[in-house]
Amino acid sequence: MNSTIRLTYRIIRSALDVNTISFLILLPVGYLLIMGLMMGSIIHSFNYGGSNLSYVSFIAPGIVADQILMGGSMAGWVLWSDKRTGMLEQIFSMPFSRFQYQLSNLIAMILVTFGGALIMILVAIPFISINITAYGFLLVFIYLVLGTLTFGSIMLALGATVRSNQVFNVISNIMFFVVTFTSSVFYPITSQTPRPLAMAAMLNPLTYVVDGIRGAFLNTSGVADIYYIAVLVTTSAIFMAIASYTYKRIKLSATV
Amino acid sequence: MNSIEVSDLKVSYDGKKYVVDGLSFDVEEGEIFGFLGPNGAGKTTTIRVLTTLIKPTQGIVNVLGMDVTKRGLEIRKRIGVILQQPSYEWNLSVEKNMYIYATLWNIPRSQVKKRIDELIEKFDLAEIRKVSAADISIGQRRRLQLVRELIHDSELLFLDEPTIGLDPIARKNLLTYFKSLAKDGTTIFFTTHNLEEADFLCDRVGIINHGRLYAIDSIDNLKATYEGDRTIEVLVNKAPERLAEKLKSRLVGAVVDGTFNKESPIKIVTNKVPDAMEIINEYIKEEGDSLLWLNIKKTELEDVFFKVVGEQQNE
Repeated sequence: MNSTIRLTYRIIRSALDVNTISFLILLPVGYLLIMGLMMGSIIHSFNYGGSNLSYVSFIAPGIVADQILMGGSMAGWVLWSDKRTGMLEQIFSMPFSRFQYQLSNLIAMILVTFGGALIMILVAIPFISINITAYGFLLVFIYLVLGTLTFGSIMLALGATVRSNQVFNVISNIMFFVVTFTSSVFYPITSQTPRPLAMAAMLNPLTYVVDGIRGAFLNTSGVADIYYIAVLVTTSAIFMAIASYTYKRIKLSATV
Repeated sequence: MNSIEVSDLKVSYDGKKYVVDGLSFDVEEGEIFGFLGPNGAGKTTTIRVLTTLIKPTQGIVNVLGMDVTKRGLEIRKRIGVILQQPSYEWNLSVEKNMYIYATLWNIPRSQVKKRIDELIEKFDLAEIRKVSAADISIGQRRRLQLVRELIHDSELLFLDEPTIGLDPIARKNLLTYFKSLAKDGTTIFFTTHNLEEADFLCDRVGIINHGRLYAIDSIDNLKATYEGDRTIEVLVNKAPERLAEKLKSRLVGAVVDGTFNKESPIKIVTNKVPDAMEIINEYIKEEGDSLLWLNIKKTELEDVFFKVVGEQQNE
């Protein structure tokens, strides 16, 4: 079996225990059903992209896109955890390169993201109006990969840099909160949006992932996708380079 | 043929101070080499260079005939490494930890179960086979870490203080296993603070302090080289005080101690053991006394270690 596949298998086996899987599935399902249905009771439907949309239908693509944060945080957590439990040093003493470990981590989180996204789509279908084509599925695939590479790389850089559990948890939670709530996951960015928040949303790669996936779900994809994809290719390239830089300088334990 | 060749190895983490400072040594194929030194001496850093985890700042290091700076991946395919730092998959059972490790080492599926069963039985892990690594004791985790590494064959095994946290039975079992591996041709590079273990296991040892190697030889040769004062304990029947007097007067520089009664032995600390024996023999013949008990404490590896390290501390 190929070295990268073996490492990917190991990351998935060691990272995905029952608690983690439950968290990965239940949190977004909770957002979708509880928040979607509760908010839906006061925002019955609104105009989005020229068509009337229920609130659940609006946030469903956002929750699917949010899976990239789940996958990304897992990648950072795996690296951090391997560093903390000594497994990173042990793996580096085995016949694997650092690049293979990083690649395996990215592949593992893409798989987790897709698994989560698929579950979200299946859970959402009874509650939403969806009009997705084969081309739309391809776009969803592209957005999920690019988004995962972007946020996964950010989390890998965090996992490679931090030296305590508390710091890792605090930073990742703050990032999760800020990135989710300054994007278009829960609300559209319109001319009514306060200017600083609209700017923040524009600088937030998750906004492009969400808008791209939402367009695919509603079959309203178009020229904008080229712009979204170009932005995400750029951000994923930048953050992967940053992750590689921090990763190469990763400090193993300091024993003499 | 040498499994390890190190020439003028220097390592600095900060570019200012060398934690390993000009090491040169070889380890022969099939040899068990003990690398001894106090905390912070540079043992783990040397292992990290040899296992290609870090690059040397200076010097030439070949492992299994390959340069560690150029052929790290090939070297790592042929070695086994048990690091000082504990490492395991917290959320997986002992058995699954071993399965994951077997997968990482690409052990053929047909052999994995057999190997795991053998190792679990040999190292007494059957009772905790299905227990999560998070729920077992520190010693059991250490055993898991050690046994896991034995799942694959390696030509050269690096053991960085492998017996920390192990109970005496597990330790003996493990050391005996390492000896059998060496008999089958595996080279072992071993660090420990337990000098009895090194004495039991190693063919040769090197003693390192402040990043420099101060002694390297077979254990017997080191003991002979660093042999100094030895303690003789002697118990006689009739007149221990007269024997003590003889020893004090004739054995220049010796310390003769004791209560000089018939119950407790006379203790003689001297570097002239043959002279002391001659005096004791003379006394027995002259006094017609009988020798009740005699013990000459051998020079242990611990004595050598203290002497070598102590000399360097004094410098």
